Amino acid sequence: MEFVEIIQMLLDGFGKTLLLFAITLIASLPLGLLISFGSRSKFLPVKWFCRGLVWVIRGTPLMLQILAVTLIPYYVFRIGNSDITSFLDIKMKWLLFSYAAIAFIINYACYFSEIFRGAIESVPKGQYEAGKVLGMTKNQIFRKVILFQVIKKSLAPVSNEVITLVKDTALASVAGVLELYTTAQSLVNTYVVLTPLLYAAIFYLIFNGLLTLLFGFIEKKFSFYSE
Amino acid sequence: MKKFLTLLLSLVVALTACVGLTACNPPEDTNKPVIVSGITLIEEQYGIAAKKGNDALISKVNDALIALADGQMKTIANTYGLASEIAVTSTTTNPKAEATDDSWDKIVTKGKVIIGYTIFAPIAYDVVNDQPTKGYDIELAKAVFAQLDPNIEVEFFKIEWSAKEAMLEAGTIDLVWNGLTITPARSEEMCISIPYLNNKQVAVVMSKNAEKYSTIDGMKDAITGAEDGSAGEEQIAAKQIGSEYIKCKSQLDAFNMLKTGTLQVIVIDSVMANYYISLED
Amino acid sequence: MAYLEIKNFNKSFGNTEVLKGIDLEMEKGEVVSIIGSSGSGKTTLLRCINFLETADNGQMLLDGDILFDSETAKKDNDAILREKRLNFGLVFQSFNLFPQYSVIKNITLAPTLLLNDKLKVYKKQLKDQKLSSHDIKAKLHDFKEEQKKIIDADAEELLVKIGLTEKRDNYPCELSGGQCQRVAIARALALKPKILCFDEPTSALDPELTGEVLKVIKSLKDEDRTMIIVTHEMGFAKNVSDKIVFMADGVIEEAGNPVQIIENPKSEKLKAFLHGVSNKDGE
Repeated sequence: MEFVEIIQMLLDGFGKTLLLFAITLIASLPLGLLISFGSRSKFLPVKWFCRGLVWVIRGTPLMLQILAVTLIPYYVFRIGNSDITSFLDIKMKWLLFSYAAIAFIINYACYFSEIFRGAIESVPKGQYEAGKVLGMTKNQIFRKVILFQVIKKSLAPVSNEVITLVKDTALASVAGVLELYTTAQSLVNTYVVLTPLLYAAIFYLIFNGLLTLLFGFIEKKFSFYSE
Repeated sequence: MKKFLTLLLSLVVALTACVGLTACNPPEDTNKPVIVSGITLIEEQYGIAAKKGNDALISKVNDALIALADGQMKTIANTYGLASEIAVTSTTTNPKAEATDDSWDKIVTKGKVIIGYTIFAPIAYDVVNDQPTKGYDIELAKAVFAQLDPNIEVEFFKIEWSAKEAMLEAGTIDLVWNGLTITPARSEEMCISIPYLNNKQVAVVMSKNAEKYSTIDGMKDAITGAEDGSAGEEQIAAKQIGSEYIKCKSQLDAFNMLKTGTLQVIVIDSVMANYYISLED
Repeated sequence: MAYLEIKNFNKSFGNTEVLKGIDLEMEKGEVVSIIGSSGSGKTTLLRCINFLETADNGQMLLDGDILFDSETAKKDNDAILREKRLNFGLVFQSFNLFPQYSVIKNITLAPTLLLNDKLKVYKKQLKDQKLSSHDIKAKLHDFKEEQKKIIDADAEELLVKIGLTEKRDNYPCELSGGQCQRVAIARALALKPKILCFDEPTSALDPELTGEVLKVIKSLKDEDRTMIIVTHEMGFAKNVSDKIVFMADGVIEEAGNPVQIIENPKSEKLKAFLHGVSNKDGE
């Protein structure tokens, strides 16, 4: 296979990696915020459900969770995945991709929720009280005073998780998704040369490098004040 | 303490619910995997592979296979129901008899031969302490090296099937002996022994769909799967079977995905297919 | 009838009784200082007045209207509580400025948010008048612009009053403690509260910075503002207050005019307290 074709296949794998990365981030960040609210809820069943969920998801390997999602339709509901794809008229590879995405979203939402919960709890009570005596509603206090401070406090740990996510995408292969790493590995094994892995490493490095720059830029934007 | 117990309790309830759901819908007993008989896919033979150029090593293996053909080989084959598939006889010739490289000497000096395998019943299975204890290839390999030189220790090493060529190249393993289908492409890349077992690739489907998927044309909308880097994968591509192909990590994986309804047609070794189907009864 | 009347405030936290029956009265334009050692309940009293805590018992009347009655307090929803809180302003010991906003934004944030609520009410009124949506939009826009100008002008005036016009666009992290506290005062004043409360406004400041804050509070006194100040600064309390109240163990031990309280304390506890304070100064 020629160089161009190898690069094309790798790009295809990278496309899946990128898509999984984007979908996971976009969905898990707000979901994580919701779960962090739930974990702090005064309504006990909600609080215990959220805390229990976070405990289980953070306490088991992501690989296992991805596998579990792919097996639930058959082992719990006795529905074959091919029945689902013919019902929805989609390709199996997209169904498997969705399973991976679901597992990733829930997993990262739980990790983010702990980051957010810590950030929320570290905002001084005085901020809430100042808002109250100034006649602000709970909603206004959160949106106008607390949220910004929570985001600033969360930036560093969130950027850490995001960079981990880029590399975790390789685990999607457990669901049968042909992302960058698995594609590279398959090429290496077929053609007995290591170069596809090298190219894959370069893809990851460049992507992570761009993310690191982006986060550095964002953190700088938020550093106009210190506590 | 109270909170922890309640948490634990709710988890237990959730788990029981899942298990309960599973128990509530028992698997349909009538839907079983079957081999599609109407399709002829490639018939092939198994060989043992070494790194390209290691002809001496393969030559020795060939000699031993020929020597054991009428005796031990038959006995071992009988235990696995494979006697009819034996491809070697005592009169088979060794095409590598003139080999002059030092690959065999190196093994003798090392005192050990490392054989790559994957779990592939009935060829290699039942792993205890990292070593497979049962399987036609396992027992045959041990018999072959006992025949060649009892001082050589036979060690098995689990590999990713798609990495077999790379591992031979790197010297991580000396031989691949795991139902390796002999193909022209592989013969180019590796040094392969005389064929020792006959095999063919077969398509397996669930009995529920057997009527629909009885011909390649009938499979045109099917979701197919095979082991990454296998002969089955090549066949699916060569004969353009199905509408979508999913790479699987192993033949067993493909089989399970067929059973759980993710794949509709899989192409695997007939040796394996027969074995796994027999387990379903 | 006094401007502010507090009748029989009781407050317990768990098993600890912090306020054991507080009665307090003050007139409009009066400045009352509350002194006492920690644990005496002075901060709790202030927080109950500002609706940050809810007294278990008692009543509070402002200008004749019952603002708080422990019997009916539970019925007050958040919206009503908000309105009641706006009667009072509170300056915290640790300033509690919003770190992500500039000085001017800290001052105008709350009034701007209140404006949005006013806009909603006004919009409804206009809709009831059955004006066309184009007219409604125009009127709302004009009203909003007009109000915003007022808010901004008021804020600039407050900046002048606290002497920090040149720090208008700085952030709290760039200011000294004294400057922050002055901004906190302006922020509280922006909502035009009827009574301005201070919870130990200088306790968290370095001694050389307390002067600038006390100066601002004095200027407010000169404008006849009604204020309640919880403080440790005896000298200041004596100079600025019309009345000093001494609290100990959840009750008002003694109250009276500043000269009486500080120079002629009657109760033993007050004498001990003042003695302890003056010894600290001596050190």
